[in-house]
Amino acid sequence: MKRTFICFFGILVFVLSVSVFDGVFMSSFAENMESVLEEIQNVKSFDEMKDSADKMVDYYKSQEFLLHRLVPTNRLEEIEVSFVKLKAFLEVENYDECLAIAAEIESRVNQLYSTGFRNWYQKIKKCIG
Amino acid sequence: MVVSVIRCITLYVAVVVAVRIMGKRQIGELQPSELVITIMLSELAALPLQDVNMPLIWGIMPMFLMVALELIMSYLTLKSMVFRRICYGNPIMLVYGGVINKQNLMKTRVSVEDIMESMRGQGISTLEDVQTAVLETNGTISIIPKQEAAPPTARDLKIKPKKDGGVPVIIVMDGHIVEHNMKAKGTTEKDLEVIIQNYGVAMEDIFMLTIDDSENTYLIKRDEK
Repeated sequence: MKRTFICFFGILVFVLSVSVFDGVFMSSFAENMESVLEEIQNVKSFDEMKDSADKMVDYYKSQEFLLHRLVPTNRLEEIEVSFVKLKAFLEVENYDECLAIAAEIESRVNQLYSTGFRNWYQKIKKCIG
Repeated sequence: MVVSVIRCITLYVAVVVAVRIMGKRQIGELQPSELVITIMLSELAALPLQDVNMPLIWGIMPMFLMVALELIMSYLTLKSMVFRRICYGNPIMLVYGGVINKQNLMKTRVSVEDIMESMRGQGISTLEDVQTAVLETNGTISIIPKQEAAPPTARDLKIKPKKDGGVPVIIVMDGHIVEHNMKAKGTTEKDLEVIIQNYGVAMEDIFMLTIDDSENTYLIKRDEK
């Protein structure tokens, strides 16, 4: 019975720690991505926009290992495709398309697995005031 | 390819650990909840193995969560009779005193053929010889023969059986001493040396050496067929 309890609590600790880590990591990832995307949407010149886009891609690359452990690859590939599109529109200096792609990336990031918790939390926070 | 190999090894280890945690009872006699868990475990392990897009943790997490639920379930059924009755049901009497209980047979959807099959398995040929047949909660049918049809025991024959030698324990296996068995049996290395000397073999030539409660030894040499 003692061994069963140890196994049970071991499993419980594993499941809880993975869940908490997943929630915290995805929330901070979404938050950081959103702040860079906001920068992209608010800057005036294309050079600044390019810098912000590079910053966003760099940040994404730095988090890639953990992202692949938590999120299905095809969903991440969708975001990566949007990065490529954004870069292409930045090259041709199409301001409207850049904003549209930035919005698309933002919605894709928010649709990622378990970032939903963060949205609920924010909604509840807003309701409370 | 490397990813698939790593995933395969990881999931194999995870499933083995999960089944081991659930306990040995799983392998022999499955209760309804245990059967569900066993089927679902294999399904959960197969998903990230087939789809490399899916993170490995998506398979491992629910797998261990299921094991945790099963542990809770088995603990509750162990502690509470009511919970056990709700989850696993009651054993149901199918035959009593050689008479079939048709109502219970209909209720459990067990055919007479199923009872006959279990009877044949125990060497009983007619229903008249059956005292009780019970459908157990794990789905097996237990047959208890009538006193006059049951094989005679030593008590019936009023004979004193020879002292039981108990279960033989392996002391040497493939030329190596099985330390924990030796300790449990209370055999010292000196005792073992004497036994081996009596057989006239070297330690490395022993394939298996067992000792029972009456200190009877049995040795198989490595080259023996």
